[in-house]
Amino acid sequence: MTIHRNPVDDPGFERGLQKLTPERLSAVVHQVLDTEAAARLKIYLATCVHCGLCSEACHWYLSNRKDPEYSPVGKVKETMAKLVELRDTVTHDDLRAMARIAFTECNVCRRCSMYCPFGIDIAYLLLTIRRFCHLLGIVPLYLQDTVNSHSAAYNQMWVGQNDWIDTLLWQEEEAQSEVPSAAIPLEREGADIMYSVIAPEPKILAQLIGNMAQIMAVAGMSWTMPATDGWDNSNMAMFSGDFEIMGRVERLHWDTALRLKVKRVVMGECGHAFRGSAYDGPKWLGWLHPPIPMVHAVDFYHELITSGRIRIAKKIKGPITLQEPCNIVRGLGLGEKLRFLMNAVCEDFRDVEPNREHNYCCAAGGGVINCGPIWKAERVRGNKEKAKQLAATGATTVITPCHNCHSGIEDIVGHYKLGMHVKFFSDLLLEAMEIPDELRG
Amino acid sequence: MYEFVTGPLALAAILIFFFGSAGRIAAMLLLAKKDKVVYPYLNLHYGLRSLFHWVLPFGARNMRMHPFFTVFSFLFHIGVLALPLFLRAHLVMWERATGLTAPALPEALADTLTVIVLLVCFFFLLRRIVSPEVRYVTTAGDYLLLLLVAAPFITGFLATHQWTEYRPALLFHVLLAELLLVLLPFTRISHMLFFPLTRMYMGAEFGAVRHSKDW
Amino acid sequence: MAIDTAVLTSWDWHPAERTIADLTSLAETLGTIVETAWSEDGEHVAVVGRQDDEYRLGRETGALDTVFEKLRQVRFTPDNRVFGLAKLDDAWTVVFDQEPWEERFDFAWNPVLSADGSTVAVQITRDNQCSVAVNGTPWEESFTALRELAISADGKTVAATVQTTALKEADVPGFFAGTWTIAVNGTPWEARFINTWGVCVHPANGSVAAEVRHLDQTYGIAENAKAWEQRFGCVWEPLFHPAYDRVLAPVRLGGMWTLAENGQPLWKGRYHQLWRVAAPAGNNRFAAVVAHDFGRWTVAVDDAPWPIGFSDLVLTPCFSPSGERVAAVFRDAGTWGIVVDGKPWDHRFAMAWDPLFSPGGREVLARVEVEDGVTLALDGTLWSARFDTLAPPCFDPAGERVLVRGMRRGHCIRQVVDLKTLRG
Repeated sequence: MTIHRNPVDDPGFERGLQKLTPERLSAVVHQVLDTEAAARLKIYLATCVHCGLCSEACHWYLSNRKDPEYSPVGKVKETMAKLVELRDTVTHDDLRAMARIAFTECNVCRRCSMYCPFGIDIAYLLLTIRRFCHLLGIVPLYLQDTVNSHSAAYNQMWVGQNDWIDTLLWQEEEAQSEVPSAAIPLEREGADIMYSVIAPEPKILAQLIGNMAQIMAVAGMSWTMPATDGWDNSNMAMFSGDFEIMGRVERLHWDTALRLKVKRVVMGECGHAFRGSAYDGPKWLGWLHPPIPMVHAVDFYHELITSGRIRIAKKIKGPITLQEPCNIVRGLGLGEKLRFLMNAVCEDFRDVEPNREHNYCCAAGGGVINCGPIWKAERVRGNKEKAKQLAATGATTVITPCHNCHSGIEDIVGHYKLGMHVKFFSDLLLEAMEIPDELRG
Repeated sequence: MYEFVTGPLALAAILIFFFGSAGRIAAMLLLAKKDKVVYPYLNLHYGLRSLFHWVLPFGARNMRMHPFFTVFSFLFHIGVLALPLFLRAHLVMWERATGLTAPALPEALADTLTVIVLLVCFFFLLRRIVSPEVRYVTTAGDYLLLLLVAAPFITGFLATHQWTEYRPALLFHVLLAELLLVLLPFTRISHMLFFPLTRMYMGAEFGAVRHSKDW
Repeated sequence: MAIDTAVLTSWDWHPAERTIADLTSLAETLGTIVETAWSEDGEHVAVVGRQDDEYRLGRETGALDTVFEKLRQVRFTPDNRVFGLAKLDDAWTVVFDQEPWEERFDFAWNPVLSADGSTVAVQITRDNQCSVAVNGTPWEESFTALRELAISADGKTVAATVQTTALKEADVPGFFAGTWTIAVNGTPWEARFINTWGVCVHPANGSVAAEVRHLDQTYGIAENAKAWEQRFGCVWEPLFHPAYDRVLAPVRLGGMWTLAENGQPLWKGRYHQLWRVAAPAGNNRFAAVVAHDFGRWTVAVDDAPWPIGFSDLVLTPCFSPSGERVAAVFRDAGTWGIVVDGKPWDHRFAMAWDPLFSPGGREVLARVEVEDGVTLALDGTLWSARFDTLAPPCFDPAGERVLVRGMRRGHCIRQVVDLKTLRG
């Protein structure tokens, strides 16, 4: 029955294992299990009755022919339950398996918490294992490299400050070629909105920033972007268990918004970045909620369309479906607004099933895609269910209002030969929105 | 012997159950302060909203996905809660000890419920053996717990219908029930104590913090 | 940054309102106005205008001749010279009024001006190496990366966080071997760390301190190339006391924060958060923003948190010149306000800027945004005038009048107003 996992060697695991001493292991076990984790860990482990009802919540389980090792509770058995039982007698092989499961086979999407009758936060248990692995230095190589980038460059892709500013100046020109009055106002203190993005935008998808400049110009919004670090709202440290770096990144992001005296932050289309800047980051820093509102792009587009600031000139033809980012449907309840947007700009929106809070993760989220190319085959295999779900819609385009979803779905579309285009919502909006003549110049 | 078992021993079991449960809950509530976010995130409205959906049959998607399990599980839990409290024979003992009384379950219903509890115990057992995702995470302790829960119902049923010798069956029944009561706060059956806490916390986090729902 | 009294006295403090510039008419020659900047005395305005792909600098008197490919972050020095970042012939440099530095760079950004106005330092890249140019002269040393810049008040010390070793893609062991340090006037410290952040320079004596992540992944503070012996779970950026030779930093101990000096906890209080440390020139005190209860924010002065707390945030505390009084911006349940010595003003605002004490420390003045525009509030009372934007206000040396520099319907307005008038 059990499908044995393909062996994958991650140099990031061996880096920590090589220098691991029994003393360090003991100290970290104590720190994580006895000092940092408290009631939630204890109550969750005490309450779980091993009923297995969480299994079908997990796309990894469904996609791996219902192999119980991939069920949420199965993963807990091999990680946290084992750690609590063995403590510092865990072997290197145990640690390798724990790291593999926690980092690469769980997207911490929290779907299973909605299927567990007791509401056990299984993602929290797996994140605690990641914290443990981080403290031991057993972290997938590419994920750690991303976190190192966060720590050194305050963004996840080693984008230089010069490249950041230069890209904004370039994208301002690009936007002006469509809408001459468009601008990317840098460092405008007192604007209403700070727009923040994730590093893949300046690095590889710069046109998305230009898209937003056009949207902002048409909507007539008062906005700004920083010409300093603090522009990147993404946070892979949250997923590697390096909470110190996570907190540092989020602190700078919020301090940048506060320095610019904006009333709210609007962020681009990304899911985990919302989670990091609105929940996990603030929580570690002592905030119950973000210091000023964090508005996800989907929420923002919804506001622009319902308020009439953006009008739809022509709807997009062809069957289009949707990949819902966990962190904004389960994490923010934007399911309805997403559907409003899809119906507002698409002639033929094909919904997925299950949907809204019950969506399936893209399998790229939670830091899994950041574990790099060595894990890609496993990741794509781990989401056959998503391919089935998308194929059933018959759509030729899939909208992903999230960067992790975008890359993850592109991999799935490619591997399972779904023949779909993968786009961001802003791509559609730009095609569909009316640009008034007086703005065209 | 019988007097001792239904008298001081029963009292001791009940006290251990009560103080054990209270102690476990209190310890957990105290420890939750260390989690920092647990209390600030709690929200009665969203906590109860979630709890409501999860104590309502088919109130959550997962229950609708597993209709047999849902029906069996609800019947089972009704049985294991109602029978110890409202069985006529139990009420008589309560009345003798405390003077308090309550309406008793009709015998036919009590019998049916007992049979259901036992059948569902068997269903749970089968599930643990047959279902790969359950078998994979099942421990020896899980089987023992199932036996521990089923035992007072088996012996109670035998005693009531006097299919075996009444006295020893009854004695076994009382002893096993007391054992269950004593172990309850300290085994996985403590999910009975913790279920409202974990569910309401998750409900509050999903509802009040993340503007979403968890069913 | 306090302005010298002699300089302040020389400004025009006659209570009157003058229009310094009309942006609408400037736009006719300059094109779309994309930036405006005020001189400190409010006598001058500089603007950047864009017409197609051409950028021009303008003053209140009109457009200047030079055309730039880009021109950004234009500001005044205290002696009323205008400088900004300019792109000329596909290369970047700093331009003063119309005069560019001789040196050109692949890119130049983040100009930092010393308090005395003598020195401008700017981050630069050349051939993919990063460095700093100070008053037009680049450091001899260049680095793989350079991200934060700090400068002393006299401009003589410029410090930066630098990465001294280039790493191949995903070289995690290389990164953890330590590639970051601090460079002071171009010379890097000997020690290497996993990370360095929060570099700061003593405004007077040029000492340099920074946050460091040690090679064992613990956190600490380094002062003048020497790290504190004590290591912590985390730290935030250090702060030099402006008048004393002391450096303090928030440190995390056992999951809670406190303020430490020279490696040892200075404060007894343990907080869920502690940051935005401030110290007055007038006396030997420290204040910081703390979360005494989880998610409740206030100011602690010398380890004594104010009893009041706010749900959203408190910004860096501002001291009166003598250091006796403290005020800060807060946000509570979605609206902004000002709290002075633990007592919040009654008014709530759409936005509030850092409060400013009068020279004698009696009055507190703040820029605030209300429904119909931006204005000033004095000791909680709103002034009746409204502006579209306001530059930071400034008291006269006697503390009787305030210099207002504001924008209203395209006009740059300089106004000197009595405190009496502000009170309405």
